[in-house]
Amino acid sequence: MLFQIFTFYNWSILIYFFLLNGIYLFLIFRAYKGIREYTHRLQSVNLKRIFGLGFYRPLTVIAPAYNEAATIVASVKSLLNLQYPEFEILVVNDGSTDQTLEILTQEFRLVPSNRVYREKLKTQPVQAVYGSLLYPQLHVLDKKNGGKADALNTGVNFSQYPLLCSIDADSLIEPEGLLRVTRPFLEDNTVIATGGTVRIANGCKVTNGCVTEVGLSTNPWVRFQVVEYLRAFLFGRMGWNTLNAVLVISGAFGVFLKSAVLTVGGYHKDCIGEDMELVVRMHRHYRLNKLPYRVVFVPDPVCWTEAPEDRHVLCKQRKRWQKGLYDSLKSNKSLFFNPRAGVVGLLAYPFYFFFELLGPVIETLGYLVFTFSLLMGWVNWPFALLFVSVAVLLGVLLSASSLLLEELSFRRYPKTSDILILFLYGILENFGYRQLLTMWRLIALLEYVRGKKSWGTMHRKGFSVSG
Amino acid sequence: MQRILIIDDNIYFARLVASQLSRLGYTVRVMVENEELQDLLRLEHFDLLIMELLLQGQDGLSLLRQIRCSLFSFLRVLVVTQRTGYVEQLRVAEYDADFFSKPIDINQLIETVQLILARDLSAGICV
Amino acid sequence: MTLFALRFVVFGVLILTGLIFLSILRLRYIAKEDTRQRKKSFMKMESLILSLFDDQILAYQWAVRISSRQLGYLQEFLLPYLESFEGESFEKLVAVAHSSGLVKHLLQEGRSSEAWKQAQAVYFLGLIREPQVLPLLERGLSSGNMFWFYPSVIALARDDLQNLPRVLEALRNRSDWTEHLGISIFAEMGEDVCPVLLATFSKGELSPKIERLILAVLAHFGYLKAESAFKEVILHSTERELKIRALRAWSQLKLGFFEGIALAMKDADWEIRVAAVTALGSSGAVDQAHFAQGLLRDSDWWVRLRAAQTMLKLCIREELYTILDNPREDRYAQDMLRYVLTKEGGATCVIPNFHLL
Repeated sequence: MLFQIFTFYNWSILIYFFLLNGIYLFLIFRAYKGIREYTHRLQSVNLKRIFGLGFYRPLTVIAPAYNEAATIVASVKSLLNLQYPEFEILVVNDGSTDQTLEILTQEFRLVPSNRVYREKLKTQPVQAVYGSLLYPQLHVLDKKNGGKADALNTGVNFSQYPLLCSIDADSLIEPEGLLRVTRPFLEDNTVIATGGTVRIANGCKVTNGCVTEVGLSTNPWVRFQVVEYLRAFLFGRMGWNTLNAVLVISGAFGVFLKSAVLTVGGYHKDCIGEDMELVVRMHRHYRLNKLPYRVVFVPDPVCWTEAPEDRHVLCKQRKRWQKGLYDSLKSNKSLFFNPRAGVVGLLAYPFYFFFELLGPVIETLGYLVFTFSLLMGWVNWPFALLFVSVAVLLGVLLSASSLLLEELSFRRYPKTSDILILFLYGILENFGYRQLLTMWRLIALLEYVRGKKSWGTMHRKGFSVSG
Repeated sequence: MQRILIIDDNIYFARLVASQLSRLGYTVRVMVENEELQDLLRLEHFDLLIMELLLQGQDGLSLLRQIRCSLFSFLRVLVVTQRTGYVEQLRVAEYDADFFSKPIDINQLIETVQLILARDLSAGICV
Repeated sequence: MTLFALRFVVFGVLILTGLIFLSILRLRYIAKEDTRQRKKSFMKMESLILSLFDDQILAYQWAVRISSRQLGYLQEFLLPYLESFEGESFEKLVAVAHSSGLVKHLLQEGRSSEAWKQAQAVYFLGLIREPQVLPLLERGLSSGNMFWFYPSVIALARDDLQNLPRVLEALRNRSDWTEHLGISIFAEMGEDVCPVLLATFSKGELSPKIERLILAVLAHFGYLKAESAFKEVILHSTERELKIRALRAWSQLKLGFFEGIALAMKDADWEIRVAAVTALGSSGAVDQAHFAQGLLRDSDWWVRLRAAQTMLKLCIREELYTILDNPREDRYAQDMLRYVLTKEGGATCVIPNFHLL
């Protein structure tokens, strides 16, 4: 009887892996069509001219900062260099205990400002508002500590423009990035949020806050992450985009319609992945109330970010993401298999629930059960090989197809050797890296369910020429 | 021999205008990407600036404002741009520059350039 | 069965991965070749263009020097020139396009089944005002996708001003265009569309979206003769969006003050009040500034902001400081006034005691 249970479990795990990779392949296939349409659309209309003619919507960039004394000046300077016809920058100092505010005051010649605002969202009290003498579009808000979501909400309160852009302190946005990522708002009145693509900047040459030369880092952890970002964060999301079911917009860079953010109530505090949670909540609100809306993902590379270069930082990051995913999914349970929520409820949310959230659990259990059955002699070699190939080889195919898509569309890595190295790492990834990540994510889930909700702190290297 | 500086992201356009103007004897320079305008103005003297408002790195109007607030505010500026809205025309006039909308007729442009350069610097806002 | 599935999966993956690997290499090679060829062609073409404009060669001499493989590059190359020039230079460029065989090639592409190729061809042909493109526009005009409709309607627009009613008809039949794109279509046609648009508006236009578009286009071009039409809308129209646009147009054109604006400032809708007080500010009517002072105490944030900015434009500073010093004045009004003064004046106007609402 035990034998039958194990056989059944083994087969169902096989089907699980088959489904997982199958859905990803489907997404990549759709992503291919989506990207082709995107590039064709770019060529048929000169949208830069339309933008340049004055048809744009002004933007507020909100940059929360907590104890970022080392990097804050570089980040703010790179924000000031953004190309956009009209925008303002709000740096929200979230009760930093180090010299962040002092450094800002000195560098940008801040003076107290009389800026008025309407408190639409409840936040921790703001202690002071500063304007910069050098840059009239820069303002700094000093408030009591309340977490990143709280800081973002304060920024929402103070912003005076209809579009909001939430950005991580260490992301570098491409010069044309803002124009590209706000283009969907120009074309369609129902767009409420857009997200850009995040690429890894390790190994690229960075001058004056701009990525000037794209290269591949020599660090193996980074190389694994590059392939992963290409696969999951670029083509996975583009696939969802064609179905209008983009559930995750990268926290590093996303543009929202202010009215939509206020409609759903702003960012939720006590939430680890507050950016993802906001988007899922937007989906929930608009779908369940049957309001027309679109959340768009822009595939053009837009934002460059620093990826962790060693095991420990990577581990902390992935654990944080898993906990954030748990938070976002938990607070929007009503979407689960809800037919009123369309594709989001019937396909996207369950996908994230089963394959991303519960994935580590099922996979680890599957590996354990399989190994046990193998040891007990209940499994024959053909099945064992089939299991390995479905679990692993299909992943190889996925990584290879995402590299092909990259080659067909953006071709950001100029050296051919880089692409070939990535190809190799895409193959190697399935023989250890994925399993390691699965283990970390499982640990994160267990920790979270047991009640350890902490973030952990990210060790920042500071932004300079890395490689 | 009067010197003209052309600022435009469309280098083919800029180079064509430059070649037409240099046929008439002016010394023309086209500003390339990554060059800082202020540095360029400091190094060499120019009699006329032909500018486009739709620029990559910055808004043309704020660049014009910077010029008018800097040491080089005496510079004659001709704005040749695709932004033909009434609002832009008014703003450009406020910054004491002449306005020419794209698409341009090269002969008319040349006439306008000659007219501007013949103008006396101290005349201020002109017809 | 397991063995069969196993073989299927393993071989399938291996073959596909191998194919992908080879395609990546091939794509790289093609891309590098293409870049090299394009650079070479562009350099050659640029020297040809410069000598053409220097009257050293004639247009037909191009035909010999451009091979049919390079026509795609030629199309890409000529586009920025065609968008920037008109008159004699434009004619020269059109002659080049004709004699090099590009026009014939594009007319064929215009019939292609791939919509995006057709869109590009149609855009180019519309740019050079080629009459033979007109029959090809039907597919684009009725296309469901905005970005294949857009070049077709631009081509129609550029061909002849007489086509304006057809353009309006095409726009009337669709609802998926944003106002931004609509204005840019007319911006392509130039100022001459204004009299025709004004006539259409005065005759009575059925579609409210087109009405709003016409007002926005007239404001964009700064067509002063439309003043009476704007006045009419501000005084008598019941449609909120239309009234707002008319008021915005009034402030863009910097037209003078009249009683319609005073009435609009008392309107129940906040956006109309905002647009009205902005129009007051741009009209320069110093004697009517008391209206703005009234709106300074308005319940809506935006109305207060624009009222404060208007007062900054119209009143002398002493009057403003009097309001700030008056202890019985509304607190929100004073805050807004203080804010606007600071932003305007820079550090010299900073008042250290601020408080938040």
